[in-house]
Amino acid sequence: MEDHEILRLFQDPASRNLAFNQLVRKYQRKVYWHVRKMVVDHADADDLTQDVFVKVWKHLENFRQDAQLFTWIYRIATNECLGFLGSKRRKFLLPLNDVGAELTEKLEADPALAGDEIELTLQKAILQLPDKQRLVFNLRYYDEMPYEQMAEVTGTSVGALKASYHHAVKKVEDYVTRASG
Amino acid sequence: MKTAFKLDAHPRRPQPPLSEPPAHYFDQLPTRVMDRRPALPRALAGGAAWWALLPGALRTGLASVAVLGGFAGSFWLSGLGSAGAPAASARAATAALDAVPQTELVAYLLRPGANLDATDLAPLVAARPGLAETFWQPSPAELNEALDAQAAEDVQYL
Repeated sequence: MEDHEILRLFQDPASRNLAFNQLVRKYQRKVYWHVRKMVVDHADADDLTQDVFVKVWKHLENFRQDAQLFTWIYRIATNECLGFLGSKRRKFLLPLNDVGAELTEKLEADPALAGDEIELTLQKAILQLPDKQRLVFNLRYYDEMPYEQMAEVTGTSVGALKASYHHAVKKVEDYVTRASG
Repeated sequence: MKTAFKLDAHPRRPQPPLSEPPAHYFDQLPTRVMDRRPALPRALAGGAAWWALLPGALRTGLASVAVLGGFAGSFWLSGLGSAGAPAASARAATAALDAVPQTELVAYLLRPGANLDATDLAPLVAARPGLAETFWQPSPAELNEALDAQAAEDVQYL
């Protein structure tokens, strides 16, 4: 179902549930993996994905269609992830690197990466990046999102995003080079 | 020699090779999300509708102003009442005292056992000679004697 059709059905109370169900089915995988890349752990990603869609439900009525629906959902998901990681640091008074270390432990425990040393090292390198830079890296490298769309999601200028991604790539390459030497 | 790692040379994947979510996860997720949805706010009737349209911060601010205004109003009103009360009470006491005949007042003040005598009246009569003429007419010698009997420090504070 097209986005405009989902939005039209959502405005009618009689078809609101049907429209929202279609919206969740359409975007659940993208939202889940966007979140999962940031928090690594499936249980955390599951909670956050549900939180994202609950927020979409609450605010969809006021969604202004000057942005694409998926960009708007991505922005909600991004804010949820950054809020989750930030609150984790505040809750346990952890410095930046400790949350990275915790995510790295989860990564090492993931059976999907067992035996693939270079991929594991690459993932560890990505986890060393600060949250927002990691987000920029994921959007560009994995999702191949255009910078203009990334600017809408993150509320950052295209120039700043390009610089951030360039620095992120350099850091990742340096980390993997050092680790594999 | 170390070979520098280049991200462009590494095979690109659509997502990191993390383990897949449990089987049927995406079949069940929509139902779980639908179950967690809160009820959307219904349209409020009449006067309450404008309140719901205001931003949360503005609603909090207006509520605070209303509470503080209530306190200030009640304080101001209670201040008006308590400021008028002593004046009215003093006026009533003066009127009641005026109604008592002067002879009765003098009889009361000079009754046996009252701690008022010529020594107490002497400084008043010395300052205003006609003040006690209706009930006490001392000679100059009596007045001086009464004044001399008074302790110096007491006279100083009269």
